[in-house]
Amino acid sequence: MSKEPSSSRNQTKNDSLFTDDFQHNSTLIYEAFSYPTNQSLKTRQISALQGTMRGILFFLEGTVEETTIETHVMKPFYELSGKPEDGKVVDMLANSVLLTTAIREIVRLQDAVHDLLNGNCLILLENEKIAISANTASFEKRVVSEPTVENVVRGPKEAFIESMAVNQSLLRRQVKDSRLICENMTVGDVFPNEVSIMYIKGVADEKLIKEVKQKVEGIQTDVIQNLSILEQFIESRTYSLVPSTLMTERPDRATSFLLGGHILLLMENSPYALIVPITFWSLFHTAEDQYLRWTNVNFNRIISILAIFIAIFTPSIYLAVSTFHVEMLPPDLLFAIAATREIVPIPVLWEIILLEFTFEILREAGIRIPSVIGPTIGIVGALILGQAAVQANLVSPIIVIVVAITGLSSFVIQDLSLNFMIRILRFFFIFIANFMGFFGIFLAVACTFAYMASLKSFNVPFFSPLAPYFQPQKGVVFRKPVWKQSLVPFFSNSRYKKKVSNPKVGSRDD
Amino acid sequence: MIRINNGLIRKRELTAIVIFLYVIQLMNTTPDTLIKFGKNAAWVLPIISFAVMLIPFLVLLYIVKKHDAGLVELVFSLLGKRIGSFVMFVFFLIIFSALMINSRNYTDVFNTMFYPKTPVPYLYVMLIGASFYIANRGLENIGRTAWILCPLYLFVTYILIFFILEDFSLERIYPIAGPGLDVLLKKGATYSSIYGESILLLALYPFVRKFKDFRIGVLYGWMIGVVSLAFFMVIYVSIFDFPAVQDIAYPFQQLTRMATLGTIGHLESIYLATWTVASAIHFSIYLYLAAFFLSKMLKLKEFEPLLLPIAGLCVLAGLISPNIFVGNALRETLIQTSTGILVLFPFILWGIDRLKGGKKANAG
Repeated sequence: MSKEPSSSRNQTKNDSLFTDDFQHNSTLIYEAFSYPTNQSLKTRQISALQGTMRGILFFLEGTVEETTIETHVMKPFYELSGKPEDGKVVDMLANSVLLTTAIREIVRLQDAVHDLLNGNCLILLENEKIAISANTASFEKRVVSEPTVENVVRGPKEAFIESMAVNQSLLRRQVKDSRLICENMTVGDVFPNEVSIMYIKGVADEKLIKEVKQKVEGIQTDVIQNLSILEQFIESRTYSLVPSTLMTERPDRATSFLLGGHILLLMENSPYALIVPITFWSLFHTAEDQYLRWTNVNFNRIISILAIFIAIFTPSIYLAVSTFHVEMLPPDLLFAIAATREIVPIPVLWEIILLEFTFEILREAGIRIPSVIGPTIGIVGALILGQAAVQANLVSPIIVIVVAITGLSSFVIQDLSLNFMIRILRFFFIFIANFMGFFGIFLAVACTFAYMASLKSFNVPFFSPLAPYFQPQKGVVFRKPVWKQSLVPFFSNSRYKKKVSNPKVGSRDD
Repeated sequence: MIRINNGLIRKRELTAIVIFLYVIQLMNTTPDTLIKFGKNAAWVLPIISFAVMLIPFLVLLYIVKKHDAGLVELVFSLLGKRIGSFVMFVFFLIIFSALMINSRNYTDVFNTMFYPKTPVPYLYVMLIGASFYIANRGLENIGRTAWILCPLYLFVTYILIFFILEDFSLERIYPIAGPGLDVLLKKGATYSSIYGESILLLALYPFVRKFKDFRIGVLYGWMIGVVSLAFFMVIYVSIFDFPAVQDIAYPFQQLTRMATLGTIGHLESIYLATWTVASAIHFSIYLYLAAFFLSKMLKLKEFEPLLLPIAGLCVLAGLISPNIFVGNALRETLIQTSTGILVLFPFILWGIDRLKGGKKANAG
């Protein structure tokens, strides 16, 4: 309710135009920034040609590189010689005096405020209704460092940082091609922020680009701070466990998505790139997949698939087997389990739930705990909860094994959204197993598959190109040798197909 | 984008759908029924039934190709609105009775073999509930789900052979003709509507990308179904021996109980899992078809809203049958009745098409 009036009020005020009246112009800017209450706005009187040409230079503290202003804006201005013709002052300054990379002539207060906020300095001259904005931006940022979440053993070791310009530069360095397009859009009605949409022209589907842009345009909210929030605005299904977008902190991974015809979104203050559309396979594959040799990567893939299934099903299958299908177990194991279960007073469901929740708490605590006292978590978790719970007959030892292997497997899944999905699904299956055993679990499995197969992320089916089946396949479950992969994105109609064949240079053993 | 978002299914998905329609027969009560008549040569019956049902299927396929329209459109254009609606009603009855009787039989098997303490209605509602959920997400989605799961399903089904190999003896299938060739031929023809769904699948022709996809999809899936059923009949007879196999209810489930993998004695829970998934998909296809025919009969534009009432009706009607013996008897009656209808219908349609086509040619 309150959003509309405030934003429109802001707009009418900011829409004022500059006039010939120098005093009026500077007051507009002072008022816009609540000067002098707001001490961030810095001003400096400037003059040239023995004081015949005077003006004020504005900039916001903390957004500009002050040396650039001194050397590239003020110095040339002071050294100005030769009076320009009337009415051509701004033109001359912009074109042949100031030395910064980008110069803009500004007539509206709104643009002036925008430029100042983004680190430009603004020059207002007497008797001119056009202001000059020169690019002197320099925000504080950290240096490019190693990835913290998506680690690889072999591969590039740099990650995105909070500066959009740096992130774009990281991507440009990898895709040196004029077809890499970067379109900027603004989101947020009251506190606008820039979103940069990147794709490779001719590779990414035109309709898809249009759809993404429409989605970003359609966002109606006061402010979007960063990509993680933008993700929640543009995702296809808010209430579903299954993610429809992907975040990566690795420029090389982002690049491989770009080359595959996906679209990238970047924002300031977000050390990630947001990727749309995605399929199950983009969540499942890791950054390292392309860097390892064929044998090794496929071994990894088998491990990952197993890990996903273990992470989802182990507790529920243990529950189902020990409650409904005991005949499945070899007698010796059955007796061993029965013996340990005998002294535990609570039902097996509560045993599992107790330990699973404890594990999830440990995991959450591990993230939130100050890093100085981090190692305590390991001791508390392993010693007190594992060993002591068993000795106190709260849980049976086999449950500890089940929960431990489940937890360990869930760490194999790198993507955070997929990870959450699997961890939450696990509890769902535990309850169903307790309820109906294998019959219940596998009816739920059929429904889960049906649900996931019906999902779409920006109109791309979630399991494609496996189901529905499309050529070309990059190898979704198992990867093909690199020279057999083609770059054509399966969901695109674009044709920059290059038939890749086995490099026959030298001799090959196979 | 255009390619993938058109809602049409392709060859592979259709094959998978047909596989889940037919391969599952080796796990249900079909082998019991066939062994009753075919004795130790029961494995020939599916092949004969296939051959008998193939002819009307091909005839109908020919008409479908000629007019490039699905079964429903053909029936309405060739037979008129009233008779067309009646035919749709007959098709609906066939598919709905099959859904009702088979799903109840499946539930009985679950009940007898795995969950003797759980009430039948409870299992029944869960099974049909899951099928409804899958069917409700559309044919395209049934196809995708089937396609993802079908390699695994076939693999797990066939690998059972290796677990029971030690009890296998091929000599038990002799004498090769069993009760005599004439009996086999007659019974094979009578029971050919175990593959009657092929005829009704032609109604889904408009949802398939192109004619070739449809033809190849159905025929591949169908053949895999026939070969699997025949193959497993050989296995049942070779393992349980004749006449003992006659007295075994649910041979597949018994087989899974015998299967061993090293020290792990009972593998039936794994097969319970496969069978559960397969049945959910199997009945979702039936539900979808039933809703489709009913909507065509009533001339409704959308048929998804019909799925829930049909699923509910199926559970209510299915629960009437007191036990599996009644269920089996009903199923036999259904198969025999529908065989006549489904085998003859394509020829009638063909004849009418010829007559009308002839008239048109004369007029032209």
